[in-house]
Amino acid sequence: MKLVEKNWMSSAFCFFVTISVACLSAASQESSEHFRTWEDESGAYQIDAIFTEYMSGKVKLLRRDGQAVTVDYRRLSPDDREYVRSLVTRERAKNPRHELSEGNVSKGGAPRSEEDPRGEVNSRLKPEEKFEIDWYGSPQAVVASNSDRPLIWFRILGDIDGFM
Amino acid sequence: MRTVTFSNAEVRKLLNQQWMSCLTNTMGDRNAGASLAHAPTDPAGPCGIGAGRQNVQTLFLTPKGEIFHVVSGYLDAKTLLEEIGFARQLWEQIKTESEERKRIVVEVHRRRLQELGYSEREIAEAKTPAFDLRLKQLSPSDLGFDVPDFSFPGLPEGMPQPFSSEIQKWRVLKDHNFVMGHPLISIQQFNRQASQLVGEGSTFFGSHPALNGLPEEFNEQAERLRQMFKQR
Repeated sequence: MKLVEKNWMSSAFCFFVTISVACLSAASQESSEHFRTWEDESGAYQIDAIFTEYMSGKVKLLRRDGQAVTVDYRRLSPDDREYVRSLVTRERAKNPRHELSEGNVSKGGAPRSEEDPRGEVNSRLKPEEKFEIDWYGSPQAVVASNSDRPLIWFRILGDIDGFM
Repeated sequence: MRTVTFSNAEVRKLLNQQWMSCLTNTMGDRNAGASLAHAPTDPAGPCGIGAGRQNVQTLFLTPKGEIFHVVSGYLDAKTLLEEIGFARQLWEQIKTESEERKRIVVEVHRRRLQELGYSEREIAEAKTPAFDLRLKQLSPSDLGFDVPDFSFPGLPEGMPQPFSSEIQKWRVLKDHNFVMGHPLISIQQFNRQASQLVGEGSTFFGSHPALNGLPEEFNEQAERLRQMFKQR
């Protein structure tokens, strides 16, 4: 009986260890899929980090040591830009009319017209209030809203919050 | 714009009630040109209407995304309200589907220029390479940068001074001329050819890109001027 019990305990322990190792392995694999080496355009700077967010031309990354880093989208290497673009496209496909929130890809901001990884139509279809004015993120978003009101589009060099 | 124009109650009311408003950052766009460096934390100072023309571009579009009016440069609340008023009147005339819409846009802009005192000859000249050459020859001091002898009291160093009336006149002419040359151009066409349409560096809407000054050259020119005034 004792032998049977011992064997059972041994088997249970092995099973537990096997499951734990499998779980750890899966977690580790998932984690390693997200962590990647990011490079700047010149190739001189590299960091290992996870993509956390794209917002207003800025890519937010999280380093292995837990430190958050913000990088200009246009300063990234072509491969990294493509990677961000693919994440954004995938996210948009999942939430075509959803305002992409923090932790996903984007949250409003002032998009660029040509290099914006979100493509021509900005994902922010809902206006964002600033200075008591409702602002859309791109003229294409306004056109897509099918409003019958005409559009006024301010193209401003730099961040409006830092503008006079 | 943030501290003056967008703080105006009438501007806010019109933008919220009559227009769909859109704000984008042109940082890095070739057609946005470049400006003399100043920190976002620099105190806001008075800014000449139309100055910083590559820093601020205002476009008016139909709900379908067709451009029917453009203004380059900083606009104070009063000027923006005037431009909004003009654009609103024009929009009322083109909001119904008609083959005449493009012709109306051109005609209304021409009439506006005439009302502002431009002669037929001046309007026609704005399309010529000679006019673009004149724009190309504008120096930083022409555009209000680094002119200590005429500095606006209390304006932080490096901030643009108000435009001279002559330059302001050219700007208005060129901006209206842009729309007359491209009536109801679509947003897609605009984005595809923006650097050709807007011009780069030191010019206004519709200036020929081949004639534009590079921002680097412009900044070097400004630095030479700065040194020259220091040595005086």
